Amino acid sequence: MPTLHAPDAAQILDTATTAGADYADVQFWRIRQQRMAVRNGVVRAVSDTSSLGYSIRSLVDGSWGFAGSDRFDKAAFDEAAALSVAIAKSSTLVTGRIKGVKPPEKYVGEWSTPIVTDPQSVPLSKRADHLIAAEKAAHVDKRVIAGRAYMTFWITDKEFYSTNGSAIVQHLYQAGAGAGATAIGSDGDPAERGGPGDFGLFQGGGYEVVERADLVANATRYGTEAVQLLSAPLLPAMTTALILHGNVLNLQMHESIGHPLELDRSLGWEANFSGVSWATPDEVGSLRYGSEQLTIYADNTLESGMATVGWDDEGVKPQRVPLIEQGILRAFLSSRDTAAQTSLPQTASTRAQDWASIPIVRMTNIVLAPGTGTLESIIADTRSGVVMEGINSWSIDDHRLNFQFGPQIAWEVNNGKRGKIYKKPTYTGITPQFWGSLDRVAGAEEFVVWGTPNCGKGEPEQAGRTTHACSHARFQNVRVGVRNNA
Amino acid sequence: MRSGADALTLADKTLALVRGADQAQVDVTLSDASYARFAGNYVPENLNGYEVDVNIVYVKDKRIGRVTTNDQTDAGLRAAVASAADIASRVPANHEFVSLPPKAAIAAPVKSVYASTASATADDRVRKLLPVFDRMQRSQLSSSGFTTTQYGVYAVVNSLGVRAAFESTYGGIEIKAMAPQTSGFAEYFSRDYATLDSSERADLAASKATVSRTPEDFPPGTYTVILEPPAFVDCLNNLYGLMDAGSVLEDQNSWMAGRMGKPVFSPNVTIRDDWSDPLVAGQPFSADGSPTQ
Repeated sequence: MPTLHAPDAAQILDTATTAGADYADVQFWRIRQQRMAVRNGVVRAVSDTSSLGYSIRSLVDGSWGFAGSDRFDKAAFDEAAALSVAIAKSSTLVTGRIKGVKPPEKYVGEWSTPIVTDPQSVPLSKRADHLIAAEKAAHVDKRVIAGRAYMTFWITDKEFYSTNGSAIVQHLYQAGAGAGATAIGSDGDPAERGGPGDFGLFQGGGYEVVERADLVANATRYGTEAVQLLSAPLLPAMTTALILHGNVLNLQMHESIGHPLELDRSLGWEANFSGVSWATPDEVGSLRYGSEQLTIYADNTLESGMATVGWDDEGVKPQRVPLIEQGILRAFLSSRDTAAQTSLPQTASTRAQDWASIPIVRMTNIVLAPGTGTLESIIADTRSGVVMEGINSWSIDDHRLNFQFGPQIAWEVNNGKRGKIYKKPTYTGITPQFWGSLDRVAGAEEFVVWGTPNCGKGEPEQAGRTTHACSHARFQNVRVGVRNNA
Repeated sequence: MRSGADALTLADKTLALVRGADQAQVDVTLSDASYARFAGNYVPENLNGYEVDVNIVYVKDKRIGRVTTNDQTDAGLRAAVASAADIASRVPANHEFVSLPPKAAIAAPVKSVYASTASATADDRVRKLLPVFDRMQRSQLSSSGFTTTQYGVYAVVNSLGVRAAFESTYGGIEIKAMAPQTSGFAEYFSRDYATLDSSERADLAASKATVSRTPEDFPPGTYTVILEPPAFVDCLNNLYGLMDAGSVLEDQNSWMAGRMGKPVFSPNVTIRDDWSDPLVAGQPFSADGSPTQ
């Protein structure tokens, strides 16, 4: 196991302990992010960002202090370690505080994201050719005024050391790619289609994720559908059966299940920035979150999950934890401290954006247990309803209850068959009623690991990479459409 | 590195390593930010992050390579420059590229650095919070929010003679006072942390939460609504994306597209981009070194 920074870590942990830390850990990060984007045939953005730094957490009398630094010399190590302890000590000025937990575990090990193709082995020219071909495919009609295609890779090497003797080495690979088209009609009203997910297909893995996104075929479809949307009517307001494609459903999971089940949010730690939660720890085991079709896991061991790791950023080993079983709330996404406050299980969900950011409770990987059948079989099983796909907009309140989503496209369903297209479809709901109306979940053959690369949380705000794996699903009696179809 | 002059020296040093480019730009960003984040009237998250990034733009035959690194060693900078040149040699030309900006006169910045903010310690920040927690407890409220002190530098140089740096400090507080069925919000931000009166802000947030402890249902309808500045700023922030000229012109993806010179809001609305406003003294040049107007 290569431990490049073990001597630096020893110095840092020794300094922190001498300065008064009851416990300390340090994590070294080497981060590389590569991006490429093509718009209308032009390779516009090619960037390669690398960063090396370390984060130190010190625990003093139950209060945490955090310091992140990119200065690599012995004096800087001592300075950063002492700063983390001084910050922790400052928090002890507050009386009546809830104390953090001294980690009991010691782990020594190494973990790597399984990859098929290392992105570094794929030349820039091949990446550019791939994106240019995809973007070109979106231009199926002169009314497509803009095409887009893009790919991003993250390669992160981490070394974690603690005063408990933990020594963890991880090599993480994450990747994503997407394409889109904007069409404009004679009335100047634009139509957008893009995907495959809300921001593309983002997963843990290497260049194979880009190939899995099937950009050329998808871009052709996005261009075609963007043009079709120009002459489509608005979806009229009604209450009906709603079939959500997985590329919408995963964001619905993100906003109305993942976020409300972050335990720090439920405990009020996120109240100032992105809100609280309608679900509370005392309701575990009794709260009906949704129908019996709804079973959700936190699984940070999930194959291809963006948040799949060997250990989280406070050195906790992941496991598969049921969050909701057959509609009943079972657990929350937690850190050591939040789990300790509630006696709920740890889910290894503590993550930081980078070495300069404090680890906080994150959504990581959540999974909707598959049901049976394909999307087309669910449509065939629906007498009257609407299918929606792609994401344009969404909003949800600060308790994660009332929401409105604006997918990119909808099709009516009549007697088990897809009918005409509607533009700018919307649907609204209230979290427990909406998930309570879930009556079909498609099977494992439709299951996709959907990731989001930029989930915002925390102060200062951090961008997290999360996963919400699912197939497709049907909900009954959902309010869709706009009231005035003018 | 602790100053705009240091950042310029690093940017100059990096630019001097560039060979064979038609044009090149180097910018350096330093961020030294501390936050004490509170919830439940204590501080579960207390942190400092320090980071320096060097960003290189290498242009050759309209082929553009961008590389960012935080490795400030000679070897690290040399490798980053070489990587930017390598990217530029491998990607197709961007025929939309015109030029990096030429050297132009840049106005002198207004005062934007305050020692009270730059030298604030962790104890200073938590001591600003103690009266907040005291006020909340007296009113049986819980508080959530953060206080922050930040020091930052941005410097940019290019092969056409642009050379500019800007230093700033920023500090303040956000407070959400909460109890079942009620909440109250207050904030204060300034370049000068010494001007923050956290007791007064806590009192404002607590007062709002107290007067609305027993809320009544608010019937739907059409009302005259008065937004206080933090709420109004949120509305403005949502407009900026719609006013992004590049996006509006290229993709027509804003309802403002094609409305230049036409009414878009009430005549009472005038929005001005003014870097020199002393309330939030801004950078007198844009990220590529063009003078801000």
